[in-house]
Formats: sequence, structure tokens, C-alpha cells
Amino acid sequence: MIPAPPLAVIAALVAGGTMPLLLALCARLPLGRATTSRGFWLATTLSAGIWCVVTFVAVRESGAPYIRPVPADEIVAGALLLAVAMLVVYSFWSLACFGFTVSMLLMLRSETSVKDIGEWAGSFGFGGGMPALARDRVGVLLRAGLARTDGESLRLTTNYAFLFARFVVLISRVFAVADTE
Amino acid sequence: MNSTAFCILASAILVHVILVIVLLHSRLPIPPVGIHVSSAACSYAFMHLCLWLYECLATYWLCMAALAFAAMIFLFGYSAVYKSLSLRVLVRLSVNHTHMLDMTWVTERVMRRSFDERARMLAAAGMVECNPEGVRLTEKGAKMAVRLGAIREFFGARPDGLYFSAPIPREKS
Repeated sequence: MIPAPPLAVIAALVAGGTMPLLLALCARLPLGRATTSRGFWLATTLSAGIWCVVTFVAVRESGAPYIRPVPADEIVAGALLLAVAMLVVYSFWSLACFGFTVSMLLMLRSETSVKDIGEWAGSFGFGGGMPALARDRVGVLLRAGLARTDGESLRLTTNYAFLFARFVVLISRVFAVADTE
Repeated sequence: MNSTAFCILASAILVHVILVIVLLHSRLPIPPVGIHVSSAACSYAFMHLCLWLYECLATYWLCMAALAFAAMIFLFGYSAVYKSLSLRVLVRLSVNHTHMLDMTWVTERVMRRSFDERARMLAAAGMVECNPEGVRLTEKGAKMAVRLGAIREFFGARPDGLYFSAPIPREKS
């Protein structure tokens, strides 16, 4: 009932399956500052490269490589599946390495307990605590041009930022997400 | 892809979107990711059946990949609204009539509150115990921390970001 998968689809599954190994490998390369994010993009590029090679490159009996003609729908199916595999791997990778709740849990690895939740929160982010977390998260809005700082205050920038915020509220209601507003 | 297969794919995506929204509003005791995955499985079964009934199985892999991609993008969109602290701050800014917030307010009312919510979630999951003596990992939490630490080590994640918090140092006795 299920037709045999075309080569582009098999290649996407293989390339997606190598992503965790490539991520582990690339994280150990000397890539300078921002190693983690550069390592991620390098692993993604290598994975896409593996897919391209397996899908498009074939070898003649004489040993000479050539570009194999592949139907467009097979290319699209393979590319979409590769994108899905990358997004799945990205979700697990980012959650394990940078998840907020995961980081909170790992902070308590030492044998000694913290006094209370306040001390736990204060130790977050190498002792930066909640102010450091606030600066980090607000930084996303500043870089996106949605907000600007005004002394110790934060201010919406344009009507576009306001409309975007209202759109987020609308989507939150559609998804039944509480406590956004 | 012919028009029949396209209609089947579009219907399957629509079924997924509607099913997720209905299930999220029904407040079932299922985690949101479970709802997304179950709904994607149902819409996949619906699509597969229709492709077979209308003799469009030649487009199976294209339709399957497109449905998986749409479901994944939908899940990412949901996750952004569900968990993003940045978007929570943006919404608070838009609700405030001056469109302005004090950073201390953001720290205490958004960040600290989110930290407390997650702490309660970890306690409810039996990972952490909070009592008058302090906050510490339970046996279950310690095992999970070891596993997560091993995953971080496998991925070579380095302590160069805010979310890579070092373990709280032991007190000197």
C-alpha cells in the first residue's frame, strides 16, 4: 500500500540521521567565538551536502561521476523530509543544550541543596540571575526592532510592533494559551 | 502532483490544524506536544486512506513529506507563542497603555514568575523537592540530570551561554 521510497527520500532520511553525529563532531571543531551556533550551521550544511550527493551524483561503469536527472516531485519530497529531520534534531538539540527548565535542573547537580527558590533563581546564568535572563530575552526584541530601551525602561517602537503584539495575542487565543496577556 | 492529490493534502493539513485547536481548547490532560503528535498521526491516516481510495498513491511520498513539514512548522509556531519569554514581554508592552515597562517589573513579573512556574513543574514531576531544608534533586531528578548531562556532553555543548548554567558550587563545611 506504500510505494517504495524514491532515492531522494532515502537520502533525506540518511542525511537527517547523520545530523546528531555531525552536531557532536562540529561542536568539537575550533570555530572561534559562537562555536555552538556555528557548529550547528556547519552540521546543517554538511547534512544538506550529503543529501545532494546521494540524490544527484551517480557513477558510470567507467567510474566517472555524473549528475543524475531526478524528477522535481522527488526533489521536493526529499528536501521537505530533510527539513523536517533537521527541525526535529534542532528541537532535541536546543532543548537538551539550552533548555531553560533543563538548565534549572542541571544547576542542582551538586550534592548541596540551595536554600530556597529565590537562591536557585539568583544562581541562574552563572550568578546573573533573573536580571541577566531579562536582559537576554529583551535583547531579542531590541535586535528585532520591536522595542527600545529608555533608561531603565523598555518601550514599544512602532505601530508595527504593536500590531505584531496583537497578532501574538490573537494566535495565543486560537491556541488556548493562557497568561499571555 | 495532480489536483486530487493536492486537495487531499490540503484537507489533511486542515484536519490537523482544526484537530489541534479543538483538542487544545478541550483542556484534556495530555501535554501539548502529545496533542500535536496524535493529531498529525490522525491526519496522516486520513490522508493515506484518501490517497488510496482516489488512486493517488503515486504522490504518497510528496504528500507525506509536505504534511510532515506543515505539522512541524505548526508545532514551532505554537511553541513560540506557548513558551517564548520575549513574546510575553512584547505582549505586556502592548497591553500597558503607556507601551512602556520598567526592567525591574519585567525581571520580577515575567522572568521570576516563569522561573517559579518551571520550578513548580519540576517539583510536580518528582524531579525536585522543595522543603524547609532547601531545594534539592530527588533520586529521579538526579538520574535525569545525569542523562541530560551526558546528552550535553555528547553534543559538545560548551558553557558559553546564559542557558548553560554551571552547577551550584558545594558549600564548604
